[in-house]
Amino acid sequence: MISPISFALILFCLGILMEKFISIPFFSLFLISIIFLILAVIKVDKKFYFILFISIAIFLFGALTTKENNAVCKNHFSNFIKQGYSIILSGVVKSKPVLGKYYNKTFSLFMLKTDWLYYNDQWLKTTGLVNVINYKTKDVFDYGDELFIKGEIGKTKRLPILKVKKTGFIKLTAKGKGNSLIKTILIAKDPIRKLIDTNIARPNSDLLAGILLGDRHRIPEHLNKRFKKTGTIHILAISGLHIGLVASVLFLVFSALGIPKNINSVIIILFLIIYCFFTGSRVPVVRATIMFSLFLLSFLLKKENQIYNTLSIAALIILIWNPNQIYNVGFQLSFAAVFSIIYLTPRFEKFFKRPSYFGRLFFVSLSAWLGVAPLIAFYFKIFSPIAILANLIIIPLLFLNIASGITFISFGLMHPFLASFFAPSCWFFSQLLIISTTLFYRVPYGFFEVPRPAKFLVLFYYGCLFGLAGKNSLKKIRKTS
Amino acid sequence: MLYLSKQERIVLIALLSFGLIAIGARFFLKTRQNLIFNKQYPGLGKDTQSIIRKSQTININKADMETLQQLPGIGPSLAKRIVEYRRENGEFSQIEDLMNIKGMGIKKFEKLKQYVIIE
Repeated sequence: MISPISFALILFCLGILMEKFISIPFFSLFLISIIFLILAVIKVDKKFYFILFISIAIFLFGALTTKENNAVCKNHFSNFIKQGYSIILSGVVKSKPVLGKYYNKTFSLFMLKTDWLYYNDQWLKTTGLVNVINYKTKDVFDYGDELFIKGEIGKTKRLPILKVKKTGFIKLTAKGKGNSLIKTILIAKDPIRKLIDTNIARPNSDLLAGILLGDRHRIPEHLNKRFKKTGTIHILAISGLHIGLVASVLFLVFSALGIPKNINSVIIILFLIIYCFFTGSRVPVVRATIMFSLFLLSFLLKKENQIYNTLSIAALIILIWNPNQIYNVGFQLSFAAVFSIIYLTPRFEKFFKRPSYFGRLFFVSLSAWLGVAPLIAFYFKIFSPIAILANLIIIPLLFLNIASGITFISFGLMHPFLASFFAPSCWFFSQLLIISTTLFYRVPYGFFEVPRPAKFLVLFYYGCLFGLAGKNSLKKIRKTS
Repeated sequence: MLYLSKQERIVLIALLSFGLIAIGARFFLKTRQNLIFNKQYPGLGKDTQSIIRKSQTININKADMETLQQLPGIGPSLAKRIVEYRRENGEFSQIEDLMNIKGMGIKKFEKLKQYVIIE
């Protein structure tokens, strides 16, 4: 099972982790990795030495990528700001503004790519992103708008926050500065939102907008809570599961239309890339899009699809792009879930000797739960055994919601009559989803609030899981050699 | 890693070399960039400076408590006293009237007078 790519991924991850604990200057680290790379070139014919030197080089590459990623540009906007201070800057809106409410105050939230900062009575050219919370909601902005803003720097752990309150201002200076393709995709969302809102009653319309369009902020808090406590919150965030379900719905439709499988795969890859932009290209969606595109590409190139390779390549691409993703809860949860599904499910099936279809579904749910339960307990202090059963019902319901949603949107955009014809099926499946989650939420002892488990216990658990997988693979290697 | 042919090993070395060069170059560009300053904001017209100047001053005849607290040396209690003074005595006719308020000494007034206007 330890393929070259999985092995490289493990080394790369260790390099990222090392960077957090040991501080070595970038150029020293760079020089050492070059030396090991040269040694690997010299010993390219000697298997043992080559593996040793190239492994060290990959490990150091992980640390270097993290260092480079964490290095802040000299002209980065955050070098010139202080929390609580008012600043004046200009920049371009990089995300579709969303409306929110905080203690009866409405605000719009969007991401701004900073361009110029008013600093010491001069304009300084800057880089970097800032989240803008605009309390002056009378002004409506869009992706690609160039703005001139005065606001106050707020408290945050991640991206800096710029609050535009009564004392600040926000002025539009130009339009259409963003990427035109992304803008077109974002604009295309508006008629779909309108279609959902006019044909389906709330909160079902909010749930559908969250599931299909990635408008998660619209999902009411009480529903959010029920999904969270029953361990099914993952269906509200567009991730691997959604992408997989969307891809399978499209695959079924295109196959039924008689489109050849190769063309079918190309269309689905293109569709998934568009869908990724469509839902705001957040990290889980990008991750899932990479994974499914790789799956389909391997099918297209008629290569044997090794699931661990695909998983490792997806993880490597994401970590090279942003090594800090390794500390992201979503990243950890989705890879832990996928890894335990592909590793544990076949073992359960083997142990229980050819279980029925429902038995197999149960083992998939159980494996996923075993993979994520310690992480959920660690991050959210919730232990929900009901999740094993809940996912068995909720995931097929999600599939039906996505399938009916795609049908409703595709036909609804053609004619209002078709929209009103297909809307009830959408409402019905989303209502079923709400009812089932509520029922699982009410099951006594379905979930418990637990104290946060110790870090070393969680690490020990995953160490055992990965160790078991590694041990089996070593056995296989010995057998083959 | 364990089953690589010679050709695959060479490809791996090449990929890693390109990766290292790219990371090195990116780091160099990030840390060695020069700061660019401009006297005028390139995106806006002549009114930029007046917008900025206006945004940096506070009209004490109109500002509420939250706005007044943006001024240097003014906390919630002094802001409250300014609002109460305005309510009792009417609008300020000159900014020096601020010194009639309890807690506003000459030093504090000197610090904030450049940020205050009367309209």
